[in-house]
Amino acid sequence: MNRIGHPTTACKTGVTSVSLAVILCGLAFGDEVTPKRLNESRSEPHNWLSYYGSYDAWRYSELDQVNRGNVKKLIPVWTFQTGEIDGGLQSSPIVVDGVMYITGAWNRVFAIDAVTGEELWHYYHPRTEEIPGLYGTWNRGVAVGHGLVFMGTLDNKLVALDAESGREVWQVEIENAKQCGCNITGAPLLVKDKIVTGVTGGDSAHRGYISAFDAKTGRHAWRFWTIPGPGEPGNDTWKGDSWKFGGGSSWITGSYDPELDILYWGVGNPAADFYGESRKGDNLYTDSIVALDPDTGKLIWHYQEIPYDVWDWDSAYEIVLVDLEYGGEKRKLLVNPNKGGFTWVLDRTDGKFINAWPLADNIDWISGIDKNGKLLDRKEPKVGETIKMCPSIGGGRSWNHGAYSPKTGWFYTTGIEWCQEVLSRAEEPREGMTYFGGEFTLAHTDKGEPGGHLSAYDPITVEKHWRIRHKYPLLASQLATAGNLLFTGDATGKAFALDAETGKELWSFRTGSGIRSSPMTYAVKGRQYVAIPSGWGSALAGLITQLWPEAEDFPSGATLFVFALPE
Amino acid sequence: MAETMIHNRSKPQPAVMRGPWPLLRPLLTAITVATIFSAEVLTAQTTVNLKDPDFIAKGSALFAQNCATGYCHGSEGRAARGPDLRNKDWDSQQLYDVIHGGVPGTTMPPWNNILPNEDIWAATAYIISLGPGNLASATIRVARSGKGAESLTGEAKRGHDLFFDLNNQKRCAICHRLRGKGTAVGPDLSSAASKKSADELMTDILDPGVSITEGFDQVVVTSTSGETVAGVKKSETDERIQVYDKEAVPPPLRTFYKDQIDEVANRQASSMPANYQSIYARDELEAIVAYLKSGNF
Repeated sequence: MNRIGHPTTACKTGVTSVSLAVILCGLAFGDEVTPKRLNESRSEPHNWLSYYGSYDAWRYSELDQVNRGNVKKLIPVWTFQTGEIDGGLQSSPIVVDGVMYITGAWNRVFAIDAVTGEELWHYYHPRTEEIPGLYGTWNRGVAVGHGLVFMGTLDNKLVALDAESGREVWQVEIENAKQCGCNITGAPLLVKDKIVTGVTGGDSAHRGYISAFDAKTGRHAWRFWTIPGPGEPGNDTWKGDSWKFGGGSSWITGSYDPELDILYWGVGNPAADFYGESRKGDNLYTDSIVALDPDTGKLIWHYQEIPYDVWDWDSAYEIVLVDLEYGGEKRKLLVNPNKGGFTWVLDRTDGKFINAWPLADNIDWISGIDKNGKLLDRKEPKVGETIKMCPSIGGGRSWNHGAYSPKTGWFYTTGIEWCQEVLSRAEEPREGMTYFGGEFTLAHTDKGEPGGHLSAYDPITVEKHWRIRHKYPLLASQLATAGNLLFTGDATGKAFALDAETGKELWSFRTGSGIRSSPMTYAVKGRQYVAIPSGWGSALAGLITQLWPEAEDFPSGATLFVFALPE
Repeated sequence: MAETMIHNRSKPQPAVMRGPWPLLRPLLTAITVATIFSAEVLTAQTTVNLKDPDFIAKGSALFAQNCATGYCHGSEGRAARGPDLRNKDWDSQQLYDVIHGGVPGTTMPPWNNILPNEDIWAATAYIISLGPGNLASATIRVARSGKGAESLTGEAKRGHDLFFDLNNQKRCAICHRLRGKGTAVGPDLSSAASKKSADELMTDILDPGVSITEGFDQVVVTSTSGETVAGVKKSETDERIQVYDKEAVPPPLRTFYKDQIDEVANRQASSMPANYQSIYARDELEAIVAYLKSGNF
């Protein structure tokens, strides 16, 4: 089951040592990724060393060989198939000195020669009989460092592989997946000597956490419970024993500020999603940004965006760290798009509210957010009564990440126009089982047609510089480059590049299956490459068939396309 | 094949009848029968009617809580990540078998571990009601199922809850498995619990070194890089050895390939931490022992 790299597949030399075989083939693995390199990742723009490309989650590259003037010449140079189309391909590749690491569904990990597309090794995590089906089969990527490649698994383990050979070094079961109804689909984050991971389980009767392990040994370092236990500050924001099963997942990768030495992580919704009577209270730290000491897991500050969430919104999406002028001075800020359709901007030194602005037109679960961050005119689901509200549970935006370009100073993100009919229902928690407290059906919008869009915003003035619209929700991440380009893709399988200043489409390529992943770019020996994983799948890819029935026929896939300018 | 049918969204299949089910059916039926007579306690039989509006309503409520939820099959089977279940001409027994046994290799779980057979039939009846509902026979004889651990009471119930308490990061179940629940790092306690007295079990918990289960001696691996890891050996092949590192909870599973090993030694010692009297109160340990002695896992 656990197949370690095949040297003969890598270069057909017949040598038994994988690393030796690789060297004989002419590709040497580069220097080990150290914490220092991760802290200073922008100084090596040819690499993409961590999930978002850098700790600040910009999803931006300084590479500009491919630019507005020549992007139309971009051609595919190689493709790679993960062989698992169930759940599509949601991964973001990582590239270290000419070696790419990418994951596929069902916890497949591949090391690939980033120039030729040739496989160097692969690791297939054993499939277990009982994984929590609610959170899918996909995986969003690995972390790399200390000579190791780290992946969270569908059976709630963290696995460390030797970066050069793919051989397993350690694995640790964080919590029994069968019992907790939780697992890992997001990419871990390496901070100094610790590997940090979140967990799913926000729609299960489960108590969430963020975990850290010693990177070299897998030994437990710390756990931050996203729901405080008895005697801890914040436990009184939960009624009775509801804290035991209150959700609070941490399913998307956090960010890190090396200068402040603060780890930022977003926490998901409380459970039951639509029924809150049994957990009446603010429900800390669900729907919050938590700022943690990465060495100890101790809470430094928190900011709760949505107290007492009864809509299954999340604050789990990317936390983009930017230093920008605000109120006449340069401030250390963070930008966090929320599933409810608003983007929060906070001071990342102390968690103080700066502003919040909408990234979709159809939002009516609140009428707005005041200057102190208070939610106005909450429209809550009701027990026994179906209520229409916007956006749908799929979000004013999905998890796919935006990008920040320091060249334009703009934040690029998608938004989705759609609504839903929600019914709340009283429900008793059953440990590890789904705990939704109601049902929903997608519904048409009140304003304009349902669909997706991609926009460029000034995150501080909230000025919208441009917007392009698509028939279907856009569910791929954005990649911004110093070539003043924005790369992403759509549900029909079209990968495309836009002029980052105007939104004008400059290049496109048909990949054959919808794009649900995170494109990235890198360079080897002076040549820039753009990698766009293609493969339709995921919860939302299935859900949109309720509004667009033809989407049921959209072909799935799992193919990585890599593009470059002709030599 | 089953996986393709359920999850390949490129070409929706209209119903189970057109899939590879004639081949799988005997297997699934065998699984069903085996399950009823082994893992579950056969208590009685009952008869259900798949066209009974009350039975369908019961199935609707079960579907709403368990199947429609979140991102699986969608409200009233309208499709989400799982396929659209409406307007399909199902074979009732095959549909029941799929729900009961799950679809191996996919995220569709076997519901026989979670819902009684009668409830699975109710969900079946409800899904059939979403389509034309052509049934050869609507009356089904159902073996009622019950589960052991659910009948626990008093001290044994308290012990069970402590054994599996997810809020305790040093709970017993991190390293011990009981009839398929928990994680098998240390010995499976199902048989030990019946062979040993309550006093012996208490001694095992408080002083793990007194009696070491065969095959659970401590293995000490020294690597060529000078690292030493001691704990429970999980497996050994010609290529590598895997050891649960006893120094951390949960114990990481370390893999050492033969070219990375300097020395492997065995030690007559337990890898279980000897501090469980400080992790659980005395009365809690007594409850855990009562649970183990109940034999009701």
